[in-house]
Amino acid sequence: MHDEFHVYDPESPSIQHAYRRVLLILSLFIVVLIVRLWYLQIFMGSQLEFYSQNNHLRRIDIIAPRGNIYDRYGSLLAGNSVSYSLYITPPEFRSAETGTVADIINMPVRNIDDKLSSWDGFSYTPVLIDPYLSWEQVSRILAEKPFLPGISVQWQTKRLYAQGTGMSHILGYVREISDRELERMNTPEQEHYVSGDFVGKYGIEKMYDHALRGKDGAIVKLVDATGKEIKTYTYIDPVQGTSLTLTIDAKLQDYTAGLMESYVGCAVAMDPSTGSILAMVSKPSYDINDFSSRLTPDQWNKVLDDPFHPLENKCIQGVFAPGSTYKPVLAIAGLNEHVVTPATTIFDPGYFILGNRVFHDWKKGGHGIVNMHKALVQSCDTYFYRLGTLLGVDTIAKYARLLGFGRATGIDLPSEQAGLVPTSQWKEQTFHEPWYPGDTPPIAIGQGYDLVTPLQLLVAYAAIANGGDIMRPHLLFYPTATTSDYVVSKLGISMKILDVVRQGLLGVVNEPGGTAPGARIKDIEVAGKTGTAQVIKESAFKNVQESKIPEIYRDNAWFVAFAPFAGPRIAVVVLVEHGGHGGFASAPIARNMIDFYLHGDKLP
Amino acid sequence: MKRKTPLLDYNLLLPVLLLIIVSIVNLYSATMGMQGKANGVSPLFYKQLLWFFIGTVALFVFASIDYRMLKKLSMVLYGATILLIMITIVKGRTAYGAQRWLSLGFFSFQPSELAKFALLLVLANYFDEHWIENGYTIGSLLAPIIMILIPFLLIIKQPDLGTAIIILLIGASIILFSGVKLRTFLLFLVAFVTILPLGWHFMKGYQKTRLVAFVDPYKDPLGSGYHLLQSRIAVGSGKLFGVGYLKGTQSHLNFLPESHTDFIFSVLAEEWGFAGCVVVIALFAFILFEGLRISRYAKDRFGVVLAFGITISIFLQFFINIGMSTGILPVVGITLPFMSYGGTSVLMFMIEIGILLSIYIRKFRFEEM
Repeated sequence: MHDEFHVYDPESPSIQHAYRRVLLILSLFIVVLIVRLWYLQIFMGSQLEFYSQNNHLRRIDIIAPRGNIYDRYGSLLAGNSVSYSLYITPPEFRSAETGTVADIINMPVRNIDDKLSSWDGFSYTPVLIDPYLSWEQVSRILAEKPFLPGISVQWQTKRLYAQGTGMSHILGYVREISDRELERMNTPEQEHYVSGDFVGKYGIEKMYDHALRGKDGAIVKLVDATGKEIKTYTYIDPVQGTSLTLTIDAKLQDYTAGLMESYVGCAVAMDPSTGSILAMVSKPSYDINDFSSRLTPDQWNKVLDDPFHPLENKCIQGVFAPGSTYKPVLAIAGLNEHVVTPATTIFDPGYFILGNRVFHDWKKGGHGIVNMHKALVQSCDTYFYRLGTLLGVDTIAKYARLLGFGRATGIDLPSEQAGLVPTSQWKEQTFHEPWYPGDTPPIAIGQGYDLVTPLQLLVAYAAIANGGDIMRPHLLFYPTATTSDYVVSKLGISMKILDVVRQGLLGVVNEPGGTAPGARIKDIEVAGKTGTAQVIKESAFKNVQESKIPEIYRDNAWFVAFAPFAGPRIAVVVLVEHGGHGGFASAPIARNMIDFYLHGDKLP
Repeated sequence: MKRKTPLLDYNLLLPVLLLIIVSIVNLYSATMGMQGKANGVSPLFYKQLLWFFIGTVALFVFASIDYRMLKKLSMVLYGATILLIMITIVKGRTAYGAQRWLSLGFFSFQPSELAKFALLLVLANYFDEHWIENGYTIGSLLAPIIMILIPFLLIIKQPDLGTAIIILLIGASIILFSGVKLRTFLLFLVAFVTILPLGWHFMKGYQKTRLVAFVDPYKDPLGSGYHLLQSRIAVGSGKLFGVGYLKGTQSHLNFLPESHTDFIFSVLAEEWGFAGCVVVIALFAFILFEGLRISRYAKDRFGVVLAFGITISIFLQFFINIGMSTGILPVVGITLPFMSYGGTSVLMFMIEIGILLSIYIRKFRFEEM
């Protein structure tokens, strides 16, 4: 029986050796498994645990409604409505369906792929594809949803403005945050913004984004591998942002927008004693409700290619030659520096000669014998050529700065420009040329290097009107703020001097020979100053009638005013670009604004 | 001198018993909540309990019969198995695109599982009959190579790449274990390296993508790389002590497919963590080392080769399955012995443990005679 089977000695060295070898090999493999498990479970454990949780917990953010924006009387300027967004949950989505989705939402396939490329390969968190679905798109998606796994439509609050175009430049608009903004706005101390957030891009929406934006809520759902919801884990209520009240008078704003409708330019009204902005209109404008939806390339290009820059708030971003509206700066400087007295007179032959150069007055033949009052009322260039030359560029600059030119006014809107107050040093640095005496007369009539924003002019005139306080213009209405909170600086110019200037401005509107009879109101004393600023030094149109000059070569028409004279409650600046003479184009608009504001509904 | 006859090898039986308990506990979790029901025990679980019961009976039956009987049966069983595989290929039940099951009316089983066992027997028989002590040469290995290649090629045809690879590796292990001359060994090595690219050529598309996915699972995380990544997440999220019994989200929320069969180890790893994994691996190590000891002290050459073959086949499936679950090996459909759901698999391994016990017992029986 034993012979049937071969018997061998298990203790022989060769057998022992063979088994040792097998044992060693098996042990090695087992160690490999344990090391691998250690690597996955101990070393990588926390990261893989994160992936695991991400696998089955799905978080859907609920965008918090932004705070409302009201005008000073409580009427709603910006509120919220509902919008629909398209989301794709990448693990469930069949990439072959991208074309269908692209077709429905009218978006290039490439853009959808771009958005999906941010996916980490694990997460079931839906990716926002299009936050601006139209009603037709929503219904088409809902109809096709059974055939499009991984597609979902979410509603959320969306900004809705009471008016599309009337307040675009003040309110700004809200859109999805860009990568650049993400980088810039997330400081190391506070990372508030995440991709897909909606942020204010312009105007008040941008300036007060932190207050207006609420705290987003979220639904956290437990889902299985097919994406089927098992239960809702957590629901975090969204918190609406803080509502803001603006100093704007919506009625005046509407009225002003109507007055400016057919012009390129801007108009601002302010309470001269507080700096509260009552109305601010820049034309042309754009529809902010359109900007809160998906813009077609056509819509974008139309706005971008418009030669009159509708996106720009000209009141604070546009810089212009001030023209004759600059003359009060010279008047104050001359009186305060005792270069002239109110009684000082000159003879104006219609031109001013400096060295071998001749500077013409706007009025052929001149104004005859002119003192300061008459020079202001009739806007006599020769008087101010002479006064400017006596003062010198740097003294003019000193008073220009005193009145707030050359720096931002500090209004609570983004992108404000500072303008330019030229000095001899500035010219040296910029052009590497000395200041020539011949450079001074043009700046004395606001026609040289000087550049101002309409709001700067308004602030300077408000200071003249209110007795010498440079105010910080503002849009946010703080019920607890006092007037002194908004005083930036005091002029330190005597009342006597300011009175001389004020009387001059009153004369501009109300005296015979004044340049702005069009601003006269029957029972209100309006004071103001016209300005006509040449756009280009073009001799080709020298003797051509204003109305026959092509529009973009026509002069810019200014009018700055305040009323009532005795106790000013409103100051207004109006700029009509290429409007020709200030007294004709701008003064009536300013007049109507003042009349509307001071008379309100009593107007016929 | 009369030695006390041990009835059973408890060094083998105890770890197997413990492993079965772990397996039942773990399968309860893995099969729970299947078919969309959050609560309730799956019928699959009861089915597997039945298989464990049948397996236990089979274990003791095979332990009590003389394993040498199998030597005489080996060629018949081998031939029958080959026939069954052919029948399966022609008219078997299809699952996952492969014809692996043969329906026997009341239950279906996998002839390929049987083939592993039959191969062990014929190879043990061959090396028992042709014992060359100072190493085999290529000529003397021709017959065993053919014995290996027939089921290998047939099972590849099914296609069941995993089992085919196991067949090949079991065969190779036994040949190497029996001892080959150095020149022959080198010849095998050269042949293997030359055939490898050919193998790639004959692989099915999905098998290729699995291999590619193994190299870079992130290339297609939802397609071919999905199993690998989800399994890796399941295993890793278990950390040191696991997320807790019945609390594994990866398997219970169906992120991990095949969690009760091929990826059963991931369920264990997720719920019991590193600690649980080490315990199970230790149990396997006990079984393997004891299997080797039984082989070494077997009474005859047939028992030596058979016990070694059984041990190495358990080891291969153990290592490849866990290696796949932890992402060090590509995804091939191979069950984890005793742990994975599957009737044929459990039954065959229980029978094999029974045979190991038989080999252990017979050794002392011989001495008595």
